[in-house]
Amino acid sequence: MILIITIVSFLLNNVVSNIISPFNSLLIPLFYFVIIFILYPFFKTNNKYYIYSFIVGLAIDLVYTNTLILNALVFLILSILIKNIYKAFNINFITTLIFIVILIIIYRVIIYFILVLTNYFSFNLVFLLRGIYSSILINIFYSTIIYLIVNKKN
Amino acid sequence: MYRKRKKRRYLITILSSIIIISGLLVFIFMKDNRKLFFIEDVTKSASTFINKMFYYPINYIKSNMKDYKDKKDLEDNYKKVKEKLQLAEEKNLIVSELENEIKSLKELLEIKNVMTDFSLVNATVISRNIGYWYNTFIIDKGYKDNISVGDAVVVKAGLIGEVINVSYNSSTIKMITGESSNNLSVKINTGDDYVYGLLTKYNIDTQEFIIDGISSNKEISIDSLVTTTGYGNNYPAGILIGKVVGIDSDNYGLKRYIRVKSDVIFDDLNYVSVLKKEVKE
Repeated sequence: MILIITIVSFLLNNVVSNIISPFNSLLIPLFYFVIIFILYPFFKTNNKYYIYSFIVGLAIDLVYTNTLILNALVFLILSILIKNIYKAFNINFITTLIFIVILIIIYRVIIYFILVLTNYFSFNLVFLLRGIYSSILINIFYSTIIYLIVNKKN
Repeated sequence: MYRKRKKRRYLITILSSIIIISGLLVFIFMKDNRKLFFIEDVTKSASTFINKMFYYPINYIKSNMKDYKDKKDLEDNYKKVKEKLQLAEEKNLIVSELENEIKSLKELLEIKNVMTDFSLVNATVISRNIGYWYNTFIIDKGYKDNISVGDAVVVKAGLIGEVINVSYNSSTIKMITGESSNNLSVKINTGDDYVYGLLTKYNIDTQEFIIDGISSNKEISIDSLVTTTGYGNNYPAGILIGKVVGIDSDNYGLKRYIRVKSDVIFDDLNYVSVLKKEVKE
């Protein structure tokens, strides 16, 4: 189940990112990121979940970017945060969507600031905000689908 | 108490070491033109192959729809082309004359390596990067097709970027619309002469490039063609960037900025060509 959802999310992300314009669009996919949050309850131990998050991040680095281990580390950090979210809150459909929005913001901000700090580009708040709001709509939609599928299976 | 403190200190040391090492690794791996590790090469090649298979039916539909639209446009263009054909034939004669002239001048100057000698490798865009911060995309041609880092990537409307990473059957292209990929040496055709400058910025909202560091005070007219100079970067000379759409100056009127618009639709790139450097002896 985990493997299938992960592979499908990767492939879908690839197709959607290729079809939809990345500049003017409000639909930038982060499907592989969304599943990290939704699939947490499927892991029996936290260590397995951390390893899974790290591998997904590493796969993104290897397949999509040249920034090796950047996403792997960020995913690992966020997986610790996700574990604590599940521990502290009662997660249902609404809270899932809310936390996905929050996590997308955190993910975007962390990656953006690391890229700025490493001189990949200079700081531009509009650019950062656009990166955040353009990723929300389609990922909320995808989260809804995955959440429903996963819950139906359960 | 002492043991607890010692344990905490031990934990802090380990955590800070991990953070420092991770930070260093990220900093090292952030370089665009670094050589790919073997594992990266293999993963990129394998994922390109899988993505290509998965993307094939979608690409097929997409290109068919485009073909239909192109067919419609073709009829309109046919009439225009017919008129231009006559003019082109005349120009062809001049071009062949000029080619002979260049050849004889090369021989005269004993120039052996010329940057403007290049060949095209056509490629399909396999995937675009997450978000638009990286401004990169991946094509389905790699070092098996003799593509190397630094090769310019074009479409028929002009330059779009350069190759920053090459694996066996895929390459990563950084677009010129990215912030860090700019500072490209360009020249503006003023009719009888060129004005040189640096392509420094790209405005996503207006979709215009900004040329800074203009070399002279010569009059530059709107619609002048902007091309690469072939200096500095690995780009060959004469690749079209776009047309001048506006000229601005700073508050003191001392510095000029040229606004350039490219005909390339950066949002819709499906097929591209890589200008492979071919140093001819």
